[in-house]
Amino acid sequence: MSFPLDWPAECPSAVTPDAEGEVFRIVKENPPGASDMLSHHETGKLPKADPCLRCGLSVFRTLDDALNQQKLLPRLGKRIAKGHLTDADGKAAPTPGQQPTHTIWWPFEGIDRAAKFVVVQEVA
Amino acid sequence: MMWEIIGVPVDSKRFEPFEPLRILNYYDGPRIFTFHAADDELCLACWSDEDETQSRFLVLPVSERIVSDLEAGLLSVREALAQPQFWVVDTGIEGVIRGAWLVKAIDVPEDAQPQVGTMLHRSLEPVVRKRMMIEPLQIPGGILRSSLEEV
Repeated sequence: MSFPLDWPAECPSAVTPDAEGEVFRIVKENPPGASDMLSHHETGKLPKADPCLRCGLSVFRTLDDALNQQKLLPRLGKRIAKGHLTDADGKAAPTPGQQPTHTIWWPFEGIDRAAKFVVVQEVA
Repeated sequence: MMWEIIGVPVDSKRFEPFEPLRILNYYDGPRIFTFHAADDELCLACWSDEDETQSRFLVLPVSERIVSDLEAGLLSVREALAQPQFWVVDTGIEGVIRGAWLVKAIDVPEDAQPQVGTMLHRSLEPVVRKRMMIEPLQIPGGILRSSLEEV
């Protein structure tokens, strides 16, 4: 398994841990669709942002942290989806800073990301 | 489709270059951040909405004190945005500003701004509530009453 060739060199870095465990992501569709799992690198958004971070997807390690993020920015989506990542899915690392359990997941090329997630909570 | 802007167009150059100074919230990219406006005024930007081609932010001037209070959990994000009106800034996917408007807060849809009482992070529960849970018997009544009145 490998990362897309158009990612920056050494992204993610060699010391980034394998993806593993439960993660939660805010989505718009149920079941989650491919459009729920696009990185800024793929959508072309914010080309001046950190070039490696924008190749990854934001996830949280707890449902409560994902719910807080949804309440903070409701139009991100009205559903929380849970996925279980393994080392076959890519690399993942917590981000520095104050956001507890916020994690960047760098998926391997060709992974069906949406299929790994199921909606576990709908927000009114 | 993004929410309809009801407001007065303003010169968007005042917000350029609209590059994050301090990122307070990150989700696939910077969502809540400070930046320096063209006149060097410190501003807070809070992501509100987006579609395939642009992103929309609520923007208002802030003090360093408000930023530190947000990070310390003394203010919710909605409280930091609590002004009768603020600017709405639309950027293209490349981050370049496409337009800016002065908008009344009441004209921003409820689901296009942070929910009331939501802190930057879940760990930042309101300090008064946290203190009351931890030290219910150690706060003299008068001090607690005056503290609550200040919130």
